[in-house]
Amino acid sequence: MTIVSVDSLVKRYGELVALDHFSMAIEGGEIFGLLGPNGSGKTTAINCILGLLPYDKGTITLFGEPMTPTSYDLKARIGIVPQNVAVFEELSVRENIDYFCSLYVTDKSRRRELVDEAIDFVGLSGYEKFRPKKLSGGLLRRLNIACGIAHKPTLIFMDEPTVAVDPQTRNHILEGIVRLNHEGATIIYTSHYMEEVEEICSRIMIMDHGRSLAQGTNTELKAMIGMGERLRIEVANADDELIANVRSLPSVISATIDQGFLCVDCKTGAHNLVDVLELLQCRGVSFGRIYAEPPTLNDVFLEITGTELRDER
Amino acid sequence: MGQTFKYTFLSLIRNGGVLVWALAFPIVLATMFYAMFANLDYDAFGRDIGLIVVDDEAWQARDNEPLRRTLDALTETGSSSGGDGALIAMRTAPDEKRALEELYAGDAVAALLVSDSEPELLMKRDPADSMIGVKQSVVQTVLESTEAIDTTATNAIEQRLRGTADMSKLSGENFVNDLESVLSSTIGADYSQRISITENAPDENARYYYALLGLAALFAANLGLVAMNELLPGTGAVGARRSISALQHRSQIAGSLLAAWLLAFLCLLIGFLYMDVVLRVGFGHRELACVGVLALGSALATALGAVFGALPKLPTAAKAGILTGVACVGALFAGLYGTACMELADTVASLAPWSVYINPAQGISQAFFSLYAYDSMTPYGFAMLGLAALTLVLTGIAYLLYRRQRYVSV
Repeated sequence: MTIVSVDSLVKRYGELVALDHFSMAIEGGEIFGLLGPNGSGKTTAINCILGLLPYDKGTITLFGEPMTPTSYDLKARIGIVPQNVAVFEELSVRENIDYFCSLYVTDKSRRRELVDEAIDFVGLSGYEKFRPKKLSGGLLRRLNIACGIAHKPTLIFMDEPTVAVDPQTRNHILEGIVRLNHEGATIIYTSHYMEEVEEICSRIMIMDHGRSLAQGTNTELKAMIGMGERLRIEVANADDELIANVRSLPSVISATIDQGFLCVDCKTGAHNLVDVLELLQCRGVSFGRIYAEPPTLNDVFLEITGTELRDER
Repeated sequence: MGQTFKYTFLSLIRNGGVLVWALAFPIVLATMFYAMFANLDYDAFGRDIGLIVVDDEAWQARDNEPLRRTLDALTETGSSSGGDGALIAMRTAPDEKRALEELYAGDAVAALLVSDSEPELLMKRDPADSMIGVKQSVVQTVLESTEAIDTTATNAIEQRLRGTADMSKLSGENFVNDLESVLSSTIGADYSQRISITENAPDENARYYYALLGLAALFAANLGLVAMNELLPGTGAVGARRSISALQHRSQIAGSLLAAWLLAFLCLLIGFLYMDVVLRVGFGHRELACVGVLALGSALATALGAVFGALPKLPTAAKAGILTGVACVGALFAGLYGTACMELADTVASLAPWSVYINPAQGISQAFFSLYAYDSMTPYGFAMLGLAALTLVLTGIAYLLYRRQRYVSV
């Protein structure tokens, strides 16, 4: 069932077109990744979907119904984890979670259970009486998440939830997201960190300049580009002639030297490594460490747009 | 809505910055007023004012009878401003030389002698006594008032007697005695009667405290500003999160503003109790009605703060700054900043009576004043109606402004 449907969305800020006929369809049970560099329109799209921003053209439906600022029935099924931490500075961890949960759940005893579960879920047990200013950045992000998911929404929007957090907290957050999905939530996850999106998202959309550039599973996206794998071979005494020779191999897309490593992008094929190593041996070039890596989403983005995903980690 | 009320209240009461303005600042200012007005307490210079009178033949002349009687009356217990002492502490001296000696040797502020049939005051200079000028003014006022009243009363009685009394009974030498006997038989023994037109003695200082409560209410408006500001999606992530929640906007607004109102009321109540119980400011012994003013005044303040909180396209600090400016201007026209300011406020109120109803500080001050100055509750009722009407108007404006800002940006 299509939970979120966005069709030809246009949003302008004066002359700037933030969303340019943007379309998206998200099925129930997915972790849908929205990947793009800063300024690509991810947050604008999310805000329009949530009714926080008016838009100029297009249609948006959630759970099959149009979303308006007064669609309280729809809102009851949605949770958000915004990019900026949205908690009250004067309330404790428990008070914050309880308050935001109370905006959806009126039954006190049920809400108490949900708050306890949310605190456990994000790993804030022991910090319940702390106020936000006493929490580290990572714990604050966890609190931000708890406030958004305590009421057990069926559709969760997570807008760059791991910005400026330590690796341990990031892993904790990503594990939590997967757990939420297993419990039945559909999650829309926006980020400019391709590693996270690759790790947890079942389907990914790459967007830039307010447009959808490509979408599919991780595998499908990588299959869209010509590159099958990237080889990195540690070489000594590489010269321009060697690089030219490597480039002349039929499966090679590009070849460069980077800090003592011969980097070769190859098309999909079963013998790419053998071909390159044979060439090196013929030329009498000694080599050391060898790495063979599949293409990344950055490679996909690069091939589609000609530029790299900006602000990579 | 209950949880919104609860957590908004908690959030606001833990906001130290806002509470300083709403609670601590009025108490501090009231204490400063108290210290300042203590120096202006009439009881400090309205009793036992030393006066040396040259008791010679000229003083004993018949023309000076009214002045002699007046001074005698003012040396009696009960004539002081506090009612428990005498206004004048009079001593006599046989001649001018001795009077001056005694004037400079003692604590008297002036010497009175009759020169060329006219009373004359000789004032002492004493830089060490900061109140000497005020006391000398009192003495001079007594002298001048006695002369003026004497003249006026004499003319008035003569005119009345011409119409009612047997003028043939009035003789030159025993005029005063004859006059009294004629008066008592025709007009009555009591020539004048002191009546009070109000329950409470006039107290100009009290108006400054009323104006201070008006200012305190405007400072408490910051609570409404913060409460409304945190509901707007465009002012921050908290507002955005709240605006897309399942709780209706109306419920969130009501819960938030009710919490702000309660806290504003409590802050004002504490300030009021401090003034009433500790500083003994006069509120006309109508404390319950005063609580009504506080309740309505804090509602008005909350509504005003909500209007500012809902102003579009302004950062929160700017909104708070503008509100502070409005509070200070409102207090100006409530007469808070001194005598000249109070006169300005009275002048503006008399020239433009409607201005009282658009200035919350003045409206609140006026409501308290009406309780103190009038026996009837009618002026209080009108003042409260004005406050209620302004509250409703501002609440409506705040809601309309909020509705226009349901988006994070346009």
